[in-house]
Amino acid sequence: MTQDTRARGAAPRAARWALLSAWSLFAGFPVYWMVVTAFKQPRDIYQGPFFLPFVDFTPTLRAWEHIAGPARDTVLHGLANSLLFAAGSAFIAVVLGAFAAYGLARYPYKYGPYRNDDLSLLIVSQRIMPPIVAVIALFAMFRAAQLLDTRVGMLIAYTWFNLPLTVFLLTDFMRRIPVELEHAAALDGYGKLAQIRHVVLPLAMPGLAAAYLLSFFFSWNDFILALMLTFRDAVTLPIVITNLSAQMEPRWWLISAIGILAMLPPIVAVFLLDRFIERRVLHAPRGEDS
Amino acid sequence: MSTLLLDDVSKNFGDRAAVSDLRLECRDGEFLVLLGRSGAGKSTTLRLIAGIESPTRGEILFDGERVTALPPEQRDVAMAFESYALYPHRTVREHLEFPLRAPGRNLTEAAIAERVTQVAELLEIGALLGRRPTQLSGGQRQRVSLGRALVRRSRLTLLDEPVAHLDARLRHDLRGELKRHQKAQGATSIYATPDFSEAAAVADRIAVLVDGRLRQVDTPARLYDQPADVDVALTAGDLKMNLFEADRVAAFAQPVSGVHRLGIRPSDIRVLDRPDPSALPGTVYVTEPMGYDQIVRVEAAGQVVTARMPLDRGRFEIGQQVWLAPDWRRQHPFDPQGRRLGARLP
Repeated sequence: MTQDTRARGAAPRAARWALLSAWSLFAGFPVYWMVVTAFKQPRDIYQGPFFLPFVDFTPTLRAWEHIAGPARDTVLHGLANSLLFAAGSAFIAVVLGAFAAYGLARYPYKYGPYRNDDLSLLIVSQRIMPPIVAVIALFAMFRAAQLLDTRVGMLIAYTWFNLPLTVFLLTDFMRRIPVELEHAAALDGYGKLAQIRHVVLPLAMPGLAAAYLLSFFFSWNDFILALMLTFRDAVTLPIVITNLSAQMEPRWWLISAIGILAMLPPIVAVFLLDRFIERRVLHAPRGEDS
Repeated sequence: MSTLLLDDVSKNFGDRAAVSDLRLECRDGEFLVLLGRSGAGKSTTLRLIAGIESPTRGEILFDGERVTALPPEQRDVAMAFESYALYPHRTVREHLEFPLRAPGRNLTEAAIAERVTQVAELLEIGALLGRRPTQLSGGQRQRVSLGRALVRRSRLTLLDEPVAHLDARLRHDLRGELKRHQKAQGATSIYATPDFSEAAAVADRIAVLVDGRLRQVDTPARLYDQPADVDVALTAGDLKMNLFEADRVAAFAQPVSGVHRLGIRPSDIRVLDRPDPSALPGTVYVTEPMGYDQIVRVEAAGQVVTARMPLDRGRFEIGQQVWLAPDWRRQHPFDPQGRRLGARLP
């Protein structure tokens, strides 16, 4: 941003700082609170609030020792499941979603009264109703298919959950890739699959990465599906966290420590995919059309 | 390097006919220009030949062989798009290499590099090879798009307004280079443009399209001298032909029987500053000196008449009283349906 485009004057500047500070407080404080809580004694939590380690209270590694010790297998099991479900279902949802989106963006369909826009709406409508409504039916279906508390079942459930989102996001993305680029590639001598590989895929990359990340986050943060459909073998990290508090009183120090662990994979995913989203921004060349 | 035949090809989009009953042949090594206004069906015709669109009716034949059902990648046709259709993620060099690296071409790296250098030189884009489309101006993008079409030897080369967005100097230079390149390669080429002087400059023959129908195919000279109808006459010529209602100018022009309108090209009208019994009186509307020529627009016979002449034929001021002396021997008589009547008057 250049000097010229910046807003000037003291009042707008103060307002901007006030708004940003308020927003930062909401964004940052929960994270800060989780981090400090993970290093507190129960006493410091219940007698608090204490804000600053070494000033208000003396940090302790008690929660972390518990995670590395008696709770290790439970936590690792939940973490592995969560990672598998989030990464796996996001991948399947993006691949299937990309095919669906490409079809919806490029070819006219007609199934009975349903045309492309109706089909898109139909697909997105899967996400309009609250998951809790659908999950009861899903439970019955999964029980009949013996998919309850299985990894395959959870991959299917999260793919079903994410697919509407990826189709919706990617359809718009595919539409913005000019079809003439595929025509140009055809005339350059490339068949349909090669056109997709050399032209569509590289240009769709930012969209694919964004759709993957959002799917990953939704699955990673899901609670309701895992709560209804898993008991022991396929439990995810959010369920592990809840189980910690369900036994007696909530053990906030443990919840916070696992919460920190639960924050790491999405952060890593963002760093890994960020370069696709940022650097390969779709920029279709357009002439000064007459 | 092929012959092309469009055998009564029609293309409808919904209930709109973009191209109707088009029968057109392009000979081996010929430079054929499709001339017409925007919406006349030029781009659709090129897209039908390329295989991007399939005809509603009719067949397309290369060397007498039906290709109507073949997808574009199997027709071996190169095309420069009016919208350029450049790949945002590829550099200029990669654009030029892309058609050469397509499956089945089997060119050596040295051959690829040589072709790229050659075409980059032809189009003056050698300095831009490392750039991406977003770093190019409109005219540079157009040249890259043209380069991608010319870099390989294809059966047919289709050029959709390939120099439209270039500045005047480059447009002139490049159409000359295109013609030389086309002749040297013997490449059968079809070139779409709305500009008659551009068409005449490069074409062996010009096909005039009006509302999706072919009106006339002829050499540039015959098209200019003997347009088949009013629409062709108005399209062929960088200045629009003047049209007079026959009964308004009957006293001067001795029209042949059945004539409804008379066409006179701007260069066939002299502007006089003295009264003349055989000339139409009028007042100067505007003058446009062009360096070597001037264009004078005159209000006469209830319309604005355009005349073109060398600058040294006199100077005229806006509002000045003048007399128009058309060379009626060079008139183009049209009947009420707009068709040209017979041969030129003696």
